[in-house]
Amino acid sequence: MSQNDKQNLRRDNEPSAGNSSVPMWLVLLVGLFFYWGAMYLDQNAGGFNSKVYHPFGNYEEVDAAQPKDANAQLIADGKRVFNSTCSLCHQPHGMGEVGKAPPLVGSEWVLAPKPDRIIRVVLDGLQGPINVKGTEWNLAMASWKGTFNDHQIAAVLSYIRNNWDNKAPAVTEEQVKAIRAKEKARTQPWTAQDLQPIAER
Amino acid sequence: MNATTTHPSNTRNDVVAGVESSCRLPLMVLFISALSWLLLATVFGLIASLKFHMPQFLAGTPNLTYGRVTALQADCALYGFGLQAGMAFILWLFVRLGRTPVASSLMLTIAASFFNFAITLGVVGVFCGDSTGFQNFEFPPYAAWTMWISYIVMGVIAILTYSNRDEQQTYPSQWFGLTSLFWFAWICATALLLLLEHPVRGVVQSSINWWYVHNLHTIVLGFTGLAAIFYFIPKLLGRQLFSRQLALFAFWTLALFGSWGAVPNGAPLPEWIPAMSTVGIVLTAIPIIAIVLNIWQTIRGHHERLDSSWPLKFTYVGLMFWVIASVQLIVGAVPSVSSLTDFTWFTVAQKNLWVYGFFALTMFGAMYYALPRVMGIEWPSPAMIKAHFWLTFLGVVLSYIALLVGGIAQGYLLTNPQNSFAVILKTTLMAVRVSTLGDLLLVVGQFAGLLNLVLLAVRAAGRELKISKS
Ligand code: HEC
Repeated sequence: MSQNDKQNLRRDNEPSAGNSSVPMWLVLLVGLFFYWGAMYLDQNAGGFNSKVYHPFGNYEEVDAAQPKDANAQLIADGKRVFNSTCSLCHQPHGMGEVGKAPPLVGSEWVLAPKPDRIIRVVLDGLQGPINVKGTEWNLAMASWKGTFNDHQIAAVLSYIRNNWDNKAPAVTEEQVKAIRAKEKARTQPWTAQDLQPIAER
Repeated sequence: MNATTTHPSNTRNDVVAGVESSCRLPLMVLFISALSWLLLATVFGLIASLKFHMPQFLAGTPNLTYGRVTALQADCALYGFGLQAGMAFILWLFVRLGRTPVASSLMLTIAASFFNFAITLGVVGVFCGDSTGFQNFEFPPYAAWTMWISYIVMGVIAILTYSNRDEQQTYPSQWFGLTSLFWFAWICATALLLLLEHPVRGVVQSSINWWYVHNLHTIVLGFTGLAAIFYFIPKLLGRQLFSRQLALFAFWTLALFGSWGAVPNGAPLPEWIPAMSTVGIVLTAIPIIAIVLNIWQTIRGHHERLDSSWPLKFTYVGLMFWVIASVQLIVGAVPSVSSLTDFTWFTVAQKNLWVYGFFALTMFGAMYYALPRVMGIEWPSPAMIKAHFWLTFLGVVLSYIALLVGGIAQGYLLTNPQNSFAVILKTTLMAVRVSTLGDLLLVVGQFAGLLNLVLLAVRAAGRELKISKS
């Protein structure tokens, strides 16, 4: 039997497949499904974090649900205050910016063993010349005592004292409360000079 | 007429008969064993289903506890029937489309015997309580390994047959068949290594198990059934398959997406795993659309011919069951649905429809078409073919609908913590009873199918005897 006969045989008796191409709408549909798939994964895959299990949607939720020791909780709360407010001037990296605000990272003010000065700074604000890490700054920071309660101020100060490379004891709510009461009468922002009498250790 | 005695001639029938007669023995062995295991599977299924509403039934025999019987049902159906019927069909397809004889008919028959030995070993093992405890992978290691090795030998012979082919141009069914062979070799090896030999830890075991079961159904059985659909529907309608490209497109998309779904949404695994799984399953909508479109365009204008022959009817109904079961899988993968339906009768209904509806029907179609041509003998009883079709069809549909409805009801009831679990189980009893009826029809149907096949074998043997005497 010749090759040709065989070809005919195949064509006559066995099914062959036509040449129509894949319709365009089907290809578009694939794109649509892929788009949906990406959206779905974005919402339901927990950021591909292997610590996220049902019923949690993302790692933040998982983290929030973990029992924390009091300090860790305080610092976590402080992070929120910092990110929403302080980072605008002091920058998320805490290094400050020329013309905006001095650094918090490695600042001797922030890292002072007793936080009595920075509690005052945050409560009532700060203005005028101040030396931070050997550099002279002369700007002004507003008062935050109307914005944040004692817990939030203790939290944000604990956070900046324990984030980046900073390491210093946390600030307690009681400390803030005591100083707030003591300086209740104050209406003006602090200056570096005013703060000198306040003990740092 | 013994084909080896015929002279080479130009008529198609003789050429085909010449190569096809090479697979007489292996095909007969594979199909008879496959149908026997299927009959056994349906009997186990019936017992399991009876036990659900008659707990005292066979309660005194520890070998026949519910857990063992359901495991045996699935294993007999998937391995005893599924892999063997699939192998028989794929082999025959390679012989026919490649116009080449089986690479080694004797080796294949020997491997098939070993395969059946392995299944027997596995069934006895599970029966005696030696199950591995992995769903649909219960055979103890010694049986599973024997099964895997004999499958590999059969697969190698089938692949050799394929590569010996005389006809170079391939047809879509061949891709699907070939892939199914490779796929099982791969997933079974993976499961053997990661579940039995060097077990992975904790819940990772479950995810391997889910992945394996899903691939076994969707790709291994799925591709085999689709190979039959792609072959028989155009063939028996005397039409050209609408589009090769569309078939190729469906092939790749299904192989790609069909293989990563498996993990239930409520699984105790990192969220991204079930999420990926859901996306994979939903994306199989694309190949489903492609396949339905391809077949629909092929059939178009010839619908009335669809019930012109039994093989065609089996295949076509098998296709419809495939579509329904595939769509149900997609729907059930969506979190808002799966939170209701996971771990209810709903998923059982889907799996049963897949195996006994889609897969089994397409394989029956292939068998009813191929065997008379290979053997050169007509089916002894057309009435029994009819009975086989209708009993299987009704049995599948009845138990499917019952379990589907029962599963959804069960899911709704389970969402309310006020409902006691026992009460919920009781309310699904009606559905289980109806499904028992379906299971019974299925048993009778498989009996008819097997009987007809055995009669055919007896006739063939008688004829061989006559020829050797004269
Ligand atoms: C509007 C910009 C601005 C915001 C918002 C701001 N600061 Fe300041 N901060 C400054 C400036 C400017 C100075 C320096 C003032 C000066 O030159 O006298 C300063 C100084 C400080 C200092 C002392 C100097 C140093 O760098 O160690 C601390 C501590 C401090 N800020 C903490 C905070 C905290 C905590 C917050 C959030 C509650 C905050 N700041 C929000 C602008 C800001």
